[in-house]
Amino acid sequence: MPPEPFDFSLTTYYPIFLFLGAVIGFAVVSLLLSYLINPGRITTSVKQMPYESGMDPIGDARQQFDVRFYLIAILFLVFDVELLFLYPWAVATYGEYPVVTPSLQTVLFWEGMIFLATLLLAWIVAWRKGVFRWR
Amino acid sequence: MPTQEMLDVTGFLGLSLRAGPELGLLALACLTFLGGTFIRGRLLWGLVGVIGLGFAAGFSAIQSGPAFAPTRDFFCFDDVASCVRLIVPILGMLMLPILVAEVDDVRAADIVGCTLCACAGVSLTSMAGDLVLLFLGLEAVSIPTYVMLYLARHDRRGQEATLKYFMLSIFSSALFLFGASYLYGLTGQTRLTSVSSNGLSRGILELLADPSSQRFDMPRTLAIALIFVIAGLGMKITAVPFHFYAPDVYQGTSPGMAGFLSWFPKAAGLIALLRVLGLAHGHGEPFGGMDGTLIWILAVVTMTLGNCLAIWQGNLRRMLAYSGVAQGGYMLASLAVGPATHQHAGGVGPMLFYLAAYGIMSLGAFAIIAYLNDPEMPVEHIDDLAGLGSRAPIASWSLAICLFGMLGLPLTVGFIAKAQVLLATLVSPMAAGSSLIGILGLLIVFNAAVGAWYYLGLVHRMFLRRPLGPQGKCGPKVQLAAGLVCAILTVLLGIVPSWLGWTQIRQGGRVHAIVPAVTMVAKP
Repeated sequence: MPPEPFDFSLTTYYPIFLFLGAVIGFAVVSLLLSYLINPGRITTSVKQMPYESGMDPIGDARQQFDVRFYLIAILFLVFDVELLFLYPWAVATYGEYPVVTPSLQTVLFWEGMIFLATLLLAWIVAWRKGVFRWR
Repeated sequence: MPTQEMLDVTGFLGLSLRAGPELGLLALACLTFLGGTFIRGRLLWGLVGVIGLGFAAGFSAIQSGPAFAPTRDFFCFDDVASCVRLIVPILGMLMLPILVAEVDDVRAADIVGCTLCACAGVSLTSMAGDLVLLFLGLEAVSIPTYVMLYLARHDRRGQEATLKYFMLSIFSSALFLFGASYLYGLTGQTRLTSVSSNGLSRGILELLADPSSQRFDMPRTLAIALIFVIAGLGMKITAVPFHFYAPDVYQGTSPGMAGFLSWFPKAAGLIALLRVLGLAHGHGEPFGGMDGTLIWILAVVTMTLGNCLAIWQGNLRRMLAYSGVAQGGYMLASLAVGPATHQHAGGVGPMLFYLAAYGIMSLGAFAIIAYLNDPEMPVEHIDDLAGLGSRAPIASWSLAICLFGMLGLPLTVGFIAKAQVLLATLVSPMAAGSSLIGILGLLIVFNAAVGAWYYLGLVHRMFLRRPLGPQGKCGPKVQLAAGLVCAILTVLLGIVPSWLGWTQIRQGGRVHAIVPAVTMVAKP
């Protein structure tokens, strides 16, 4: 069965354009309304304050924190995405209705293993480079 | 799905074996990253990289022999692939010493690993028969490049260059992916060209060329898709509306790294364009059923603006960046001619020849600049080269030969490359249909003349001027050696171009086929 080309036409996407119009329209209308019905420019020190859900803002908005957290975040992301990838891999290969033929299962198993091996390698490199050391 | 059932363990192993050079390079890159954390040393890892690339070149040469039938599937093993897969490791072998000499022992393994990844990426792009593989190949070039930019130079200027390149490169990847998603939406396929000969399963290029499968608004959507794909790849080629980052990045990074940027990402972009537009395939409709006017415009603007802007540059690397933009324009001009058919030669062979020739000349020029660059007293302005001829004769002659090559003087490989592109534009049957391609030939000649201004200006400074001030020490000899090899190759291949492969079969006074016959070296 040859794959049929999609019946592609922009008209099937009109709900998206409708939604887009509604979103932009809402933004424009609310900005316009607040401009039209506001009682005039009265500036007090309270009104000049940054709005923080009704709380009085404390300190500066800019906060520095350690660059090490970025490294940890990146490492977390690497292994998180790896785990995320393993689920579909396992289900597609060995699930109740595997989408591949048995002869391909072997191939996919070893492909998964190679994938894990490269990540192990990356982990060792990160370890050796001292990424896990809290300095 | 017929293809999935055909692929079993033996089929998989066979495919892995055929993609062996690339997989091997990637594996070696992983080992280099790992080994670099245990053993440090520029010499060791540089040698490992060069030997690995040598093996890759050898296996690629064997694979382009007659024992391996050309196939077009997920992996395309055709003339284009076998040509590029041989050029890339060889240029990588010239590139590695230049780069390794610029970093310290601690960073050497990392930069070698990244270079191996990038070489594998360009190779993978050249044999991609599928949009997914094509994108993977492009990213395998881009991602190591970000790391290399930082490794090569990490002062403020270097950081700015790295960030600029990173942002624009991911932006270009996004543009390419957006266009690719439209191509997928139009056809329901990621495979570029047909898998089976019975016509049951057809790739994107066949589907787009088939009038019966077209929907009423398809040409417009196809135009959007192609524009986005070309824009995304245009950033990698540094084609003119997308060239603006190149001068800043070249100026901000080290000379050797600028040499890397001048060829590897550009080659990946051009080859990817070749694949997506269907120019690598002798059959089917090129340009996805549209004519090549878009590429024509891109080529003309790129070479003209690149050359004209290069004249005004004072910074050496900036000037060479614009010269690289212009050279990319010549290659795009070659692509605008279209693919080879039974009647005419097409522009693909000349483009590949030009790509290889430009790689040799550009790497040579940047190698010499890297050699002359003293960290205490960097060679930044073009006047810093004044009086070089008496101080470092070998270096200045090598640089001069590479510049002559880029200018296209006879007896250099650059001349043969330009002549081929020009010939392709003149004998193309499209030249009879429309005058556009003929004008393209004229503009190439005009641009070559403009280029002479700044290339010869550099040579003039080196040999006919006195040095303006105190001059720095020269760098590692290995960079000089790489530059010298490139200069020798420039002359040698200019005299005997058939070594790089220039097979021209004339039939009835017309050029019948210009085959990029790097493959001919392997085929007895």
